[in-house]
Amino acid sequence: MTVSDENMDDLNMDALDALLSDVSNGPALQPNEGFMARVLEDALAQQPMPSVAPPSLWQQITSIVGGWQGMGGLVAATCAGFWIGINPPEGLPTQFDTFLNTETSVSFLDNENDDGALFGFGWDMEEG
Amino acid sequence: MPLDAYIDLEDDALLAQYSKGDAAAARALTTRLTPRIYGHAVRMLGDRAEAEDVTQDAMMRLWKIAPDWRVGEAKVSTWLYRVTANLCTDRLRRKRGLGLNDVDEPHDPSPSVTAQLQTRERMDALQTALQTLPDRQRQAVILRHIEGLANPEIAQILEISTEAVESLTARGKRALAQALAPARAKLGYDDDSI
Repeated sequence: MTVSDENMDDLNMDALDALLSDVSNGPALQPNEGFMARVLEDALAQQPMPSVAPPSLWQQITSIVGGWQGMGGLVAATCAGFWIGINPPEGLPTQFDTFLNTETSVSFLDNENDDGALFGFGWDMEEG
Repeated sequence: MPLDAYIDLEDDALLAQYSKGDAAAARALTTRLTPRIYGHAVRMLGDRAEAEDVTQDAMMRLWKIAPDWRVGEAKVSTWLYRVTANLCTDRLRRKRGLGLNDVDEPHDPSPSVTAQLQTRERMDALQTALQTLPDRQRQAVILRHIEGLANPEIAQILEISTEAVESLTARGKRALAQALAPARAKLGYDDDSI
């Protein structure tokens, strides 16, 4: 159809444009609330679960020792042990003394070579 | 994320949020896209119940494709319109000669009763005339002159060239003017005043 074919009874193009404009700018065709709820229900049902990042190596280690509190205790104990190692309290034999065999030993028995007493005690135990 | 932030987000960014499990993004997308798709489906099919089926189907396809959606590659609304257009075409092929009387146009509460009636008559006349157009012409006219999309976007939706869209809309408008001839007086557009 060309312009010359247009029927004079047809709605003219300006009127048609006005009609289309009215419809376009007019109130939109709104779906009802029940339908919107159904679409949202579908959306939530199809939604992937939130992805959770795997724990880091550090997080795994701290969780083994009981979290940051456990890790704190472990660090404190390590520091204390290290300090005792390099600066031991008086009377505590050091590895160095042990190596030179110069450590002092204390016996609570009157005569540590008196094995008889100990054996005698042992016999007593056997005889009841 | 605050609710206002979703208003400024593009559709594809919202879809990415949706894929991360953000329920608010699901709500925002539903509210933003469903009425547009539904309106297009009603105009195409002339039946609200069928339009609901098509809209729900199209939106379901969007939810399913969301995890694989590549941000920035395609426009979500264009993709959704294309899916809807294809679903509508399939339905129309299966079922011809739909009754148009059950298409309820929205009521605008602000104008007077007379104005409301005239608006209603115009909407009904246009809807009736639209149903007389071939499917592709109807799609092109609705997308261009009612949805207000640009020709290149319509070309993507209908998977044809921009020139073909121009041709379709021009022929569609002429056919529409012809179909509206009987309702010319009822429409109330004084030709001399336009």
